[in-house]
Amino acid sequence: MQRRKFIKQTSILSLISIVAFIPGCSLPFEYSPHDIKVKSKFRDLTAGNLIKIKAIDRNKTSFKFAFISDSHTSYDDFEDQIKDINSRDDIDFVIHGGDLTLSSLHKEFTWFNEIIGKLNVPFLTVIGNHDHLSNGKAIYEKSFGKTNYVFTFRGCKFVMFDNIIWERNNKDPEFEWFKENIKNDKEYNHVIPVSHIPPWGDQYDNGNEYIYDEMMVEKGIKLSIHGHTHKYYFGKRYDQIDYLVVGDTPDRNYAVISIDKDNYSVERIDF
Amino acid sequence: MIKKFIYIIISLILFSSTILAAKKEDVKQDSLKRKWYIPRSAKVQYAGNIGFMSVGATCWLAGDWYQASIMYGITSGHSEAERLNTISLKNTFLLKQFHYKGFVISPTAGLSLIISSTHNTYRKLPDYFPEDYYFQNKIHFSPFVGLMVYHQLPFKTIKGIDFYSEIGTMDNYLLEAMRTDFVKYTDIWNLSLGISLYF
Repeated sequence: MQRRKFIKQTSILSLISIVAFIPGCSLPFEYSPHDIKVKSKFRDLTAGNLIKIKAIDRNKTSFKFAFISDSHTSYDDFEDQIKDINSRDDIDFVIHGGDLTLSSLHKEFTWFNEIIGKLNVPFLTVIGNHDHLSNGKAIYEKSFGKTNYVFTFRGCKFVMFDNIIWERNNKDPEFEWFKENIKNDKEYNHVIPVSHIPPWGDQYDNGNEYIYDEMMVEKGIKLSIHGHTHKYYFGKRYDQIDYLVVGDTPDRNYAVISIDKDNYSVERIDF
Repeated sequence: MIKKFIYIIISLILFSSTILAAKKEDVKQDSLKRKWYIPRSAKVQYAGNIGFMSVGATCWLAGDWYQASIMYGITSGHSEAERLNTISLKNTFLLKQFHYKGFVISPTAGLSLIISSTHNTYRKLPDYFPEDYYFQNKIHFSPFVGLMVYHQLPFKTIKGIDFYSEIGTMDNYLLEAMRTDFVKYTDIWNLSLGISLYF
């Protein structure tokens, strides 16, 4: 009698366990909203893309790249944007100007990477203010790499600069690193700085705004590229330097920048 | 780790089943009457966005249909984040209670309110931010559904045990699944396991 009861209870328990577990088997265990989780295929993407870029350098001097920014969590528009870029065959690589996410949660980075990973060409990123929230900087560094870095392509030097202030405990950006790296130290045809916030953006006070533009003039920079304002702008904001800002992804525009040895041109693309 | 956890739970229940069978006593649901604010059970949970492992106390309200648990979760050491701990208020509703052969089986649903901090999580933004620059990101809501199996134990101190598993998500992810076509409802769920001991 006791044995029968024991067997019955064990059978019920086993059945319940199976019913409860089978649907959940493939689901992940998550420990915190702010956990630093990056799938192995989405790690060190900057280094991986720089290898791809080097492979297509081919000692030429002209090239075209697309500049997009502020995709946040507008995933459907972002997919359309990537499709539009893929429909062209003249783009060598893509730069994303920051705000890859809205709240810097690890799934937001994963979803960003799943979409941008569909590009036919290599891509590079700068970090935005939203990407600094929570443990975003740590996720960004694990997924992409350093937030300040430099790369070169066909005689052009790109200086990718983390210029976020408020989300870095209201600390100034590393202007010393930036100033050192925007030097045209190897007779590059162009040196192009890329950072999320334009100097007239909300996080720059008047002093920093002035410092930034002065550095551009001092180092002979002609074009500076940004996102953040969610509004397209291309012009000489302070009379000398060309500033390019693209709208956010829901604005459904981006820029294609054509570079050759002596000149550059910027084309606004609406999709 | 998870296998070990499941084995412990199954062993405990089987052990108690044997004792109960030997005593030949009818198993009844624990019907202790005490003040609502005095915790009636202690909970240990693995995962579920409230910590790698979280522990807490549970009060039973609304005639045993609602559990309010206050939980403290530790994630540090199991994440690359230096310090990542959570406090959560877990609200569990027992949708139905099936009594069968000494077990109470309940499908559950609920909502956890999760509070956790990093150097860049805010409930109130520092003064240098303009007003409403960001929506607060210190508190998250986590809806879940699950299944709980309760079993009475023949001990004086630990009067019962339940095992539960839950499938949950988080407010931000649920919103993206509702708002966009790209994020599918199947992309946003996670699994958690837990055990409660009744006093």
